[in-house]
Amino acid sequence: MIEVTNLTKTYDSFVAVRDFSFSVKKGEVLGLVGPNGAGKTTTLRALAGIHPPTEGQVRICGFDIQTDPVEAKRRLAFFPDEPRLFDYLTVEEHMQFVGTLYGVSGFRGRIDPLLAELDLLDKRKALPTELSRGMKQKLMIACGFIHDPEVLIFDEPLTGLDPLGIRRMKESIVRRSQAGASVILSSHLLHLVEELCDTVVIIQNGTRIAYGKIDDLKWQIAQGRGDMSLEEAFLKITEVTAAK
Amino acid sequence: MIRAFAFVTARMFLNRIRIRIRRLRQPRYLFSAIAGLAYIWFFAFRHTMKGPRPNIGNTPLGVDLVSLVALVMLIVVWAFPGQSGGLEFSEAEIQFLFPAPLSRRQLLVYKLMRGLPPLLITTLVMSFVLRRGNFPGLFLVFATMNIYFTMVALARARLKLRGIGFLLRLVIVVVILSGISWAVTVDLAHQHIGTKMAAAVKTQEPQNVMKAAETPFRGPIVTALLFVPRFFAGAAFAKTPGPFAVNAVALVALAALFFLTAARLNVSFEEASIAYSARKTARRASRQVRQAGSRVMFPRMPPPFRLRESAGPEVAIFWKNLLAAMRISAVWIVGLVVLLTYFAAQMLLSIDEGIRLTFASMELGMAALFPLLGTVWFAQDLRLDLPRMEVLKSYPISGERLVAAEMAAPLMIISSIELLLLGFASLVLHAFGNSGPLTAIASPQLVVVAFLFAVPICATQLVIRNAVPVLLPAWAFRPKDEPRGFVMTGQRLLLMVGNLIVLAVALIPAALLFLPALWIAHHFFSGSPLVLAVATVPSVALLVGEVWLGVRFLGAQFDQLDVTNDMDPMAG
Repeated sequence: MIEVTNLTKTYDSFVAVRDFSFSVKKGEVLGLVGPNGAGKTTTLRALAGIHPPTEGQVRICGFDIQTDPVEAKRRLAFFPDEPRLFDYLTVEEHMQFVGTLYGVSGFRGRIDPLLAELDLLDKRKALPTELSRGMKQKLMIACGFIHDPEVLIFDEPLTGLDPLGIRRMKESIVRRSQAGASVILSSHLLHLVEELCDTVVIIQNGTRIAYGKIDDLKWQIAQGRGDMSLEEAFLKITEVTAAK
Repeated sequence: MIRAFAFVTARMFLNRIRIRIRRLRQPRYLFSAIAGLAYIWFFAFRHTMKGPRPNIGNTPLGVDLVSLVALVMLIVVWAFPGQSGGLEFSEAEIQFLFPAPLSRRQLLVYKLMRGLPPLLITTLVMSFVLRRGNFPGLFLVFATMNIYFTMVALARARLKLRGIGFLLRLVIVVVILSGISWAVTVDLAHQHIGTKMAAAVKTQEPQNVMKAAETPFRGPIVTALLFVPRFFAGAAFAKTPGPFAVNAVALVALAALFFLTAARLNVSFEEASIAYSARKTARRASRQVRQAGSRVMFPRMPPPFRLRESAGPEVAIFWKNLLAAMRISAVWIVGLVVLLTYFAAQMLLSIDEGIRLTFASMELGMAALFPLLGTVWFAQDLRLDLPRMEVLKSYPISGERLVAAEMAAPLMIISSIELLLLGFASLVLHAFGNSGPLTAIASPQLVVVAFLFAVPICATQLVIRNAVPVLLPAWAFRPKDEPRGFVMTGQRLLLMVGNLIVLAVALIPAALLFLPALWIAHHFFSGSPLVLAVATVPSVALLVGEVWLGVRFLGAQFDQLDVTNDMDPMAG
């Protein structure tokens, strides 16, 4: 569903991401983790077609994001870390707009269940300025879910959400991956990654330093020790790589 | 502690200057700064280079007048409404200084010290560029005034605690000012000022007039009233070191007195300062929203039509922008309708042909300017969506179609208003006009030409406006710490001049094509009223072609646009 091959992204002389490859299968949840400034957001933005890769290839459901961007984008939903909404559209109008934009038939019937799922039903007539940051985040997520995407790309999805919102969000991700969606989740909350993801890719200074099933990776880094958490494994491998 | 405060104040000042200078490495800021400085020099300061101008501040009368202004300021500030005692601190200062082990007096010292660098800049501009007053004197005056205003702000809060609120203070200040006015009037009457002035004017000697004008300031009551304010004017405009020293010492003593009084008032200003800072932040955010043209004025305005599920992404974007225009820019539509109704009433109801023609020509003028103004008022296109470019880029629609869809709503609105303006003006001129030049302009042939050109010209102007966020996103994007002052002025100036040049260049091929087309049309349709319309069609088609090419080009550029590189280089 998602195939990233030798992705490289440079800004002038600065290499943000170098020769980065991984893939996400149908129904799989992949965690993208790394220290601040490692190149996670740059990678996700390249995957969503927001900026063109300098080199390499990104394929979404078989469509190249550069040569066939419309078909690729039709199948994905990108959730940025900062919700950017239209100040002049209400919650419900956002949903209508995105529904038409993605050509979703019968989207009006989906609006209420989605708003209920994300606790926004009583805010359907509210403008973004009347919403808290967490509510804006939820609206962004609701808009992303309306076209039932096959690929979901989350950049720090839990920022600003309350405990109930976090639980609902986790349930939504699990439900959609069980329904066959491929999910990429970038987060600094490693316990969340450990809880939700099947595989993980660790990036540091724009380079992939680890990639594999979470349990395999932990086993490999812990050199046979069975009780190591992903957090410990992450700290160990990033320290070792930084020391090199 | 003073050393720490001085360090922070100096570092903040120097770092701010360094950031501004470093920003000039970027061409857009450099060119904007050059253009802005050239503009300001041309309009404001070029006269100062032509040698010294007569400066009333350097005459005894000037010093008297400045003293009078100072007196009024010193009194009126007591009638200001603010009475919470809130002093201006930045959010960072509140976060670091308020929980720190600092006394209220030390906070006050910091606040006053931090105010000095801006005063320094103001003094530099006034004394060296505008050539008003001497530098040390002016600086001392501003610094003393700053301490005085701070003291009065705290005193107003203290008075409120004692039950003396805004209204009572206002009444007291009005009574004091009235009393002063009455005393001065009596004083002037005793000195027979009117007779003296009349005699001086009769001599037609400016020196005599000046001397007579100084007389009111020499009376005992006015002299007493201006005793303290004269220190301010005297220090700022002193010509020799002696008088300067006397006035400067007096001002320093006054400043110390004001500071000690402010410190003794011991008003709890922390909470009010936090509220003041929050209000200021909210005001800044509101200003940024307004400047970005995204302030929603009519949030409950219903959507223009029901969005069909199968309508497609282009219609969805058109619907969104039309709704945005209604909620954000409806005030312009209402204003235009009111103005046009007034014009229409004048044109239709006035029996005076001159008035009718005046209003009709004003409306024609508006029609000529509207493609330029309308694209500024109705910016619900890529310019409005620039902060959400990341979201736009993730939409399943090609760049070309997205650019066209983004421009559709403002084009519809601007073109409709433009056609309305043209149509109504020409109707009135044709129906009621005489045989003057305006009536010739409103001939059916020329009206058809104007109608044919109206929409493509509006579209051309919209393409140019939308090219800025796509081709030069950094110029269109407003960062939180956006530069102000002459850099911003220069940036706007460059964009405006660039817009006009590109528009002129875009219109040249159509204008050139019009001449052979007119010759051919004349050859085949000689004598027919259709000649002009037929001759216009190739030019209009060329303009439409240019718009189409422009949209295609912008679409291709949009697809290649690297949002992160141009707007958010810090993304990790």
